[in-house]
Amino acid sequence: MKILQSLFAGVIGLALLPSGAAAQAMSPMRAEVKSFTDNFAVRVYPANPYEHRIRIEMKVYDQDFNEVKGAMVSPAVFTLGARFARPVTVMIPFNGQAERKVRICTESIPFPGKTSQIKAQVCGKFRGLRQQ
Amino acid sequence: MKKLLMVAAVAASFAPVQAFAVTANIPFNGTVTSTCVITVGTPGTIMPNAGFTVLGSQQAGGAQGTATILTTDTAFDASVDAPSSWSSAPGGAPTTTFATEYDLSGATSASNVAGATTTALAAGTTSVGVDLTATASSGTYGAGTYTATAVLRCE
Repeated sequence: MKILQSLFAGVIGLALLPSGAAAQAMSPMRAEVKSFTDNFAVRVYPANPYEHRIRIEMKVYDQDFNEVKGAMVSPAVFTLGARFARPVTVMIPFNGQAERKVRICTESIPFPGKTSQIKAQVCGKFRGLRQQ
Repeated sequence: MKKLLMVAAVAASFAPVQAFAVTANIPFNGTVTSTCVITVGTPGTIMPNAGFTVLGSQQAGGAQGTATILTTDTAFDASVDAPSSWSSAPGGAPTTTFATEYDLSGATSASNVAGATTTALAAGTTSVGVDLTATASSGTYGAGTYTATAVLRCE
């Protein structure tokens, strides 16, 4: 039984060997946007302040962390070079509401073939106001 | 007269030369944006309990996952989402419930905070340790490789 437990522990330990560090940031983290149309747009700048490339996914969530349907993110998935930031444009529909609060999140995706138990998620809070 | 002119010329040549020093201010401007930087460090290690009903980083031989959060403002909160399922697991793995806890040290300090609880971050660098516990609803964990991903959030 003890040998079995040791083997089992070894397998799990091996699977969770450390992978390279991954980091990300985003700015701005707060904004209020006024729009006369059915959508409002936000431009954010995800950044990679470190010395290696990272893979990033951008997502839009509501206040309850449900993904916002109909939100368009361009680009939604990309690789960012070392010490580099790039603009990402996000269009969010008001869906008939006069005001909409969303989170736009930069998420680092674990590199293929490596295990990582922590996914980093940096989220900015944005408020859209529809003007009549 | 000629002598007088010569004396005047020599005297003029020895007159003090006044240097007109001019100074100017050169302004420098810089802006630090209000932002949050997460650096994922080492992944954690989960190990089984004696009964193979729990896999956790707080079990003997387990280890926390680590990360650092750098904030330039006091407007941000940290939290950790537990995974909803295994990223990979052997076939026939029991139904599992996941729970996370985290510890903060550095600019912000806190211990054994439930993952879903948000903690206000002070400006500066905070080290984060994340614990993950997976509990089998019934049965035991069989041999194989289990991986799961917790989400460390700064917002």
